[in-house]
Amino acid sequence: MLGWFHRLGSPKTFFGMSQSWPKTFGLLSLLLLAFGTVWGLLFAPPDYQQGHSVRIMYVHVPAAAVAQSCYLIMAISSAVFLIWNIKLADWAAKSMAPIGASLAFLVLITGAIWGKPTWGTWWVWDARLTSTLVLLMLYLGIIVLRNALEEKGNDGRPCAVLALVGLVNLPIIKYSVDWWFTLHQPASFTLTEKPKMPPEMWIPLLIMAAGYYFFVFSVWTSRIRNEIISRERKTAWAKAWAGSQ
Amino acid sequence: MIFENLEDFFWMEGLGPFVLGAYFVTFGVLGINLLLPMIREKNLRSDVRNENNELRSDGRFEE
Repeated sequence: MLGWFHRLGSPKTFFGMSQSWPKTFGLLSLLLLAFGTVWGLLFAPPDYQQGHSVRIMYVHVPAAAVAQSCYLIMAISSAVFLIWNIKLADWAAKSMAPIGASLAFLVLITGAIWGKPTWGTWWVWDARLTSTLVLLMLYLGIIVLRNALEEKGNDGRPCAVLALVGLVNLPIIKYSVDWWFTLHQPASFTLTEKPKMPPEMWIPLLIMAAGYYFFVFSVWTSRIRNEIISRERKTAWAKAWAGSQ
Repeated sequence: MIFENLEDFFWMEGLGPFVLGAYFVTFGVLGINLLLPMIREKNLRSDVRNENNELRSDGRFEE
C-alpha cells in the first residue's frame, strides 16, 4: 500500500496512469448529468409547497455537496504535502482550488435563484448562506495567495496551511442549520436516514450528485496533468508527450 | 412527462425563468470548468513542442 502510494506520488507515474481518466470520467459524468437533468426537469414531480422551483434542487444540492468535498480533498492533499513533502499533492491541491471556487460560486448563485421565489429574497445573512460565502472566500484567498507567492517558488506551504485552517468551516456549513435558527431548510439527504422525499425525487438527485463527482474528478485530473507537464516540460517524457499528437 | 406542452415547460406556473435560469448558470459554470483545462492542455502541448523545435534548431536537443 505504502509502495503504491509512493509510486502514485511520482509525477511521471501519475501522468502515465491517468491518461484516460479525464475523458472516461468526463463522458460518464456528461451522461449522468444529461440523464439527471432530463429526469429532474421533465419527469420529477413538483413539490407540494415549493411547486416547480424544487427542480433547482437537482443542480443546487449536488453542487453544495461537491463544493465542500472539493475543499476536503484540497485539505487532505495539502496535509499530504506538508507531512510527506510530495510535490504532486501540492499540485493536486492547487488544481482543486479553482474547481471548488467555481462550484461554491454556483451554489450561491443557484441558491439565490431558488431563494427568490421560495423566501421572497435573493440573499439573507443566514448561517448556512454566510458559511458557504466564507467557503468561496477561502477558495479565492488560497488562489490569490498562491498567485502572489508562485514566482518566489514558496507558494505550497502557506497555501497548505491556509487550506487546513479553513477546514473548520466545513462542520460549520454542515451543522449551521441545526446550531442556528436559519431560513435554509435542513439537509435534503443524509447517508444514515431514509430520504424524506419520494424515490422519483431522490433518484435523479443521486444521479446528478454522481454526475457532479465524476465531472470534478475528470476536470481535476485534467488540471493536475497540465500542472505536471507545465513543471516537467524539460523532461524527455514530457517532450515525447508533446510530440505524440 | 409532467408538462402537457412546451409552453407549460418554459412557464412552470411562473417559476420557469428561475428554474431554467439556474440550469443555464449551472451548465455555463460546468462548461467553463471543462473548457479551461482543455485549452491549457492544447497550449502546453504547442509550447513544449515549440521549445523542442527551438532546441533542435540550436543543436542543443538531447533525446
